[in-house]
Amino acid sequence: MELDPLLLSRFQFAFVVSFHAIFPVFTIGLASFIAFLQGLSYRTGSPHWERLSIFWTQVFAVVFGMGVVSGIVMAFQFGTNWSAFSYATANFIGPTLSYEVVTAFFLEAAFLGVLLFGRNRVPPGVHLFAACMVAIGTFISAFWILATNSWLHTPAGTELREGVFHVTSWGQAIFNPSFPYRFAHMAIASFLTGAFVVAGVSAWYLLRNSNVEANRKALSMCLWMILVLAPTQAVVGDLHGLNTFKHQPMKVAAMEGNWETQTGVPLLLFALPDRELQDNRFEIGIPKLGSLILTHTWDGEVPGLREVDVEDQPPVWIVFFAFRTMIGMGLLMIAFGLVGLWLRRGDRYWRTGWFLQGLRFMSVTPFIAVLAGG
Amino acid sequence: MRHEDGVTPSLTGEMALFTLIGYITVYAAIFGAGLYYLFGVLQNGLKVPEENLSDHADQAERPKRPFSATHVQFEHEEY
Repeated sequence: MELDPLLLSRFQFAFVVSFHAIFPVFTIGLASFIAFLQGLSYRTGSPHWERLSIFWTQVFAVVFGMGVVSGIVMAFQFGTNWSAFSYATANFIGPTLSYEVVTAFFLEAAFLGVLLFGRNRVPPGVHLFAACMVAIGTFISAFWILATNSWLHTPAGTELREGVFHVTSWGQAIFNPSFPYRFAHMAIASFLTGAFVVAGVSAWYLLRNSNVEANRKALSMCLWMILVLAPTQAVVGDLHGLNTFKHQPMKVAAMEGNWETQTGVPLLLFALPDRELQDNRFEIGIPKLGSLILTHTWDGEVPGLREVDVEDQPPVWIVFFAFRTMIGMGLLMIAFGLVGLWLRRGDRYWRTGWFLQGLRFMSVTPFIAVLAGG
Repeated sequence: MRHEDGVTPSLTGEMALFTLIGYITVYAAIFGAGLYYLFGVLQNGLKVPEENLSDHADQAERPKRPFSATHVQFEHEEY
């Protein structure tokens, strides 16, 4: 049997990066939540906030550990399996990843120690400061890694000379065209993940009648966050899509299962793309809606995959269905936000059985969305 | 640069398969244990640490690793 190192390396990286994507997305949101809880505890002195903060800090400790472990392993892959790539891109990626370590990881690590073990050893103000620094550290980390990843999608500020990329403008390279959208989309995704996990766990405790007061408050905070952020994420996603449409049209063509360049493209809800056929064997779509979403006009032109040679085409199947999975999760999230708002009348949101059970299930959806989207 | 140009030149299929299986096995063990422990922490609930520590006053917190911050035993007697 011929073992292809390329295919296996791709599998391996996909496996490792999927695991890593799960944990930091959660910890970025959770770190901010904990900082917020600490702030509330500091301001109001109410014991509920303190309890919630202590509990979620414990959860954070465990999840953060798993995230760091998976991150190190993933980073090693760059050298072990993709050394030619690393050599070519080293002038840009080397510094940016180093900055991530020096400005973010060191910051988080130092203050995490205070956050986890300093609760009764340092003044409350200092402890709150530590919580804020950990939260800020997670965002700095996201900044650097997303700048790096965005550069891979929409390179800028570099030129290729003799097979090696040289940086001509750090500003353009770091703040490359797709970076702002990716950063915003990821930041909101992190908050949504944190919100849904906390909501799901709080819902479970409410169903068990355990620490009702504290968990009620936590659930309420999460539902507000979801109500505001889930639709915002859809808007940011749309803007991100427009940006991708401009810079990586073939990626969008694959996402939408569009083979032929045409105007008035339907939005395909379901299709069976066929690479050999260079078309979809079957499709169900809403007419014109594809063009509307991608170009914001009913008759906008959408490029088709057939514009490029077969070997230059991105893989269609997985991109098409993964994208739809992510959207489906997003719609579910928006729905739960709205239901939560409606159930606030009569103060029912924390007492309604089916809603709480639903929230428990929903705690997994952001992870599915992140994996599918990424 | 295409995908196939980016792969490490000295990497063979056998090496990649070996490490892939290795990763899957080790990850299953580590994240399996991690998630098991995490669910243990969640089961434990919002108990305030004083309640947990009343019998273990001699067990001062040793800030050696994240898990020593959780005050939850890995094995649960009363699960």
